[in-house]
Amino acid sequence: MNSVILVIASVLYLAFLFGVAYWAEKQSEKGKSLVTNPYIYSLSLAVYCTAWTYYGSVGRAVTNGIEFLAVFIGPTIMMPLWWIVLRKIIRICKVHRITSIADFISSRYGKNATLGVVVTLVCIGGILPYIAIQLKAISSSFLIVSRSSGDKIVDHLFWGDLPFYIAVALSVFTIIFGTRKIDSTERHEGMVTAIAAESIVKLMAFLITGIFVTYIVFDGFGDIFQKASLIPDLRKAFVFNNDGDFSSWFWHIFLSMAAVMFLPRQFQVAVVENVNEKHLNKAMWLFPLYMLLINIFVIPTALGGELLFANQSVNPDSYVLAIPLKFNQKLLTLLTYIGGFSAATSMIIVETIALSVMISNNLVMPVVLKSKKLQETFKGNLSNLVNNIRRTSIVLIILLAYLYYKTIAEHYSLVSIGMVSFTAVAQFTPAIIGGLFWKTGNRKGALIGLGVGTIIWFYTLVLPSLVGAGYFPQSIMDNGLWGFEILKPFSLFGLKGMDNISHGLFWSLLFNLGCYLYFSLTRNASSLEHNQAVIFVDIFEYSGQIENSSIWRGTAYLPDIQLLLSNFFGEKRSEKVLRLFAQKNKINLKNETADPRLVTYTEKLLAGVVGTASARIMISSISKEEKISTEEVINILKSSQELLSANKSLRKKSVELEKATSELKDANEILQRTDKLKDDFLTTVAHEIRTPLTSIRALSEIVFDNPDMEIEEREHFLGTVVKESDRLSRLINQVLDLEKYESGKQTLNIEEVDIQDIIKDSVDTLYQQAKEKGIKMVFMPDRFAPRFEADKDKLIQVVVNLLSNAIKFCEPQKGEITIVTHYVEGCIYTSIQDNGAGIDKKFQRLIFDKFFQAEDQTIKKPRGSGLGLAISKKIIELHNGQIWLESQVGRGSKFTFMISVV
Amino acid sequence: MKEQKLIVISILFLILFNFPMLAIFNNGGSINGIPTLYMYVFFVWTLFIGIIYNVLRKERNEKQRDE
Repeated sequence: MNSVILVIASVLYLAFLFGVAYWAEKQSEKGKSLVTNPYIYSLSLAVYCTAWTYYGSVGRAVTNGIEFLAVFIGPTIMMPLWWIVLRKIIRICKVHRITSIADFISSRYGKNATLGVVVTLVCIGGILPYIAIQLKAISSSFLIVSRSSGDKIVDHLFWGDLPFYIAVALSVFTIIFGTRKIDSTERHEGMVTAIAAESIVKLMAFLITGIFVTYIVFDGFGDIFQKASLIPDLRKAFVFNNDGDFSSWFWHIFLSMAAVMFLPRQFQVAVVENVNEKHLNKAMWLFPLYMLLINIFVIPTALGGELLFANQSVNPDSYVLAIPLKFNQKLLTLLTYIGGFSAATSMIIVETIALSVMISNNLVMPVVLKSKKLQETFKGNLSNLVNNIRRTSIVLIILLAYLYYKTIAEHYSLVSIGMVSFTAVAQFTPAIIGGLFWKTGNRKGALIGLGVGTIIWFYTLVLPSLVGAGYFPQSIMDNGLWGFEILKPFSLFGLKGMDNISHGLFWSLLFNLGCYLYFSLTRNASSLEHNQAVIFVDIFEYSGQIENSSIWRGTAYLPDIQLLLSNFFGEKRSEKVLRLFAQKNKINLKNETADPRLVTYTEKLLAGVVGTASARIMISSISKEEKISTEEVINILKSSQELLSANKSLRKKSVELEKATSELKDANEILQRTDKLKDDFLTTVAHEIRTPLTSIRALSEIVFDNPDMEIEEREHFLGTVVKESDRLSRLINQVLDLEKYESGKQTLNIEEVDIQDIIKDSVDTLYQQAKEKGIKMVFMPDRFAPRFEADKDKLIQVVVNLLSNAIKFCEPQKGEITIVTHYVEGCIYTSIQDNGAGIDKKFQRLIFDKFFQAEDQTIKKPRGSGLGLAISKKIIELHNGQIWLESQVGRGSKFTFMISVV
Repeated sequence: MKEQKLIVISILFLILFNFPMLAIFNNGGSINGIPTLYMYVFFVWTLFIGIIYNVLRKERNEKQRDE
């Protein structure tokens, strides 16, 4: 294929990346952020799969069989533990605004600048070759494809060399989307989205190529394995051939478990760019699924390549490209090339951003900030300085990687360099894991462990490659350093039978961990280290409090703080930030001396920009600090926690109080209404009493004033006086009665009664009265009504009351009263029907109210106290029964009461 | 609870993916023409993804129910 087409394709692809990143940032500005999506997060994690996966796995599978898979099995096994380990790291980084792995380690061990430097150097030393092999992968894939069409490509350095231009383009991309914002806690949404897109591209490309090889060139998995099994050399790749293979399988798994978290690019996408801890849930199975998919066709492709190119000098690392080329599949070749290109570019972009942040925050800024002279030079312009340092380091890293590739990396296959890088970052394991779960781990332990581990790593894994490139004498490899057999880099201390990587990993980590534990246990930590240890290890307990409480003591002046912040964020923004924080925490900004919380907050803000160690340096330069012990720190955190819970319970109490108040208000209203009712009642009673009293008095006066009154007349008057007195006393008795019922003092005298007896007794009482008035009474009993428990006298009172009302309202001579008892489903219904005047519908419900007749004086006033029905109702209710009225004006009324027998 | 389940799964698969479990399938035989060792590794891998998916889904459902 023509190299021009390849160049155009590469440029178009890069343009596509720019487009995606730009679009994502625009979306985010519109508030439709794409990175809040767990799928984008999971896909961005696949930056783990580099060109090494893409091309190198196939090469590795040819020589070592299944062993290459260990690098993907390790992360798979690690994923469930991310919920415990990585979630904790994410939380810590969010609370402390930590933006790189160097910053994380330096912050944990007392915000120590030296540790930050060491970690950064290890990262640069370990990762630079790794970036270099990505460039190499781009370059060699380009050469393979373009040479196949007969283009004569000559390797030039710089101008005229495609990888150089790619490197330049990637630098531009990284600078644009990686350093736009100074505060690195603000995420690089464009970059992350572009990386996620690249992950899809490389997966698709690899799957399509794999399907082509497996199902079109060959006849499925079975066919390839069948054919390969006939060749003894290839059969060897089907199994682990010796015990050493199991051991290196294990060590590779172990190594990649560490690498998938601690590689700077992984830390960047998994921790720094994480928006929501819950995204881990999706990533936990999606990322392993991704790795499974991208590896399915690796072995068939490797075996297929071996079968197709037997005895030809084709590098196994290039089989992915060479097979489509052999079958003259131009489009597929181009697709495969782009897939590999995307794998390489995504790795370079993220790794470079991560490294540039480390270089600016942990290498350069501490130096600048410690030097008075340098600080003077950049005064008021620090944010630009930080950004420029990052931009410069991006260019430098990519340039150095390019040079490394041109000088050393040419001699090595892709995988070996990748593994060496893995081993370098694995050195962070004791310091990070120990730092997360073990409070005793201290700075000395971390520093010495890391130092010793790195030296052994260099000696066992890097030095041999330098010897191979001719920088050191071969004698070191053959006879050991200074001729000590025991120091041979590939069999240190006489350890043989392991592969180089496992060997180097074992020794370096053993000494690293040993030193970390020994010095942590034997040396004392400073108070700041102690404090950081507590905050890191117990992050889930305190993460809510750290933001708002001050774990700092000393004096600093507000103008200094303001100046410091405006140096980085500009005057407007820093003022706004300070005001918001002060408002939220009720801090008075008028005081000259700054509130400790404000100082802590400022330090955190600065840490987001220049790293923890640098922020520490700046804060100490403007303040007089006092030591604060770990106990105090814990107390401060605990007390703010208590304050928080006290606040919560206070709020709860006030809600309860509100509820009680409203209940009280309701009760008061009811009380007022009852009070009014009582008043009305009293008025009515007084009125009712006054009427008979007036007539008694008037009649008695007449009799008194006329001693010679006729005897008949006198008898008539006195008879009326007696009758009115009777009425008066009855009324008073009824009022007292009613009072008894209403206050609940009335008790029932329960005995077994028969409803027929009750009715007969009542009718007997009124028989004479009815007869006098010429009113007929009919009783229709229900013979099946059972006997039941009730107060006989009280029920007679009810029936008598209802009957006498009926008699009262019936016209003389025409009146007819029907009494019916009826037993249905455990209830006895007794109804008393008359053919009297009837009661208007609107009064039917009110009629049971006491003194109802008195309430509306305009209607025909019935005779009686007006309390009879009210008392009857109370009696029936006391028997758990009901009483009601059915009536029509002109057709008479029917009172019914129901009592449950059961 | 979720933490504990995840730790157990991790340990379980660390064992399934290593010696001596691997040695059982490292016999040079084949299933449908595909080497047993490859079959085993990819099978366990798929199983792992399924289990994690299920455990997390259950946890999420339980959490939603609790809420």
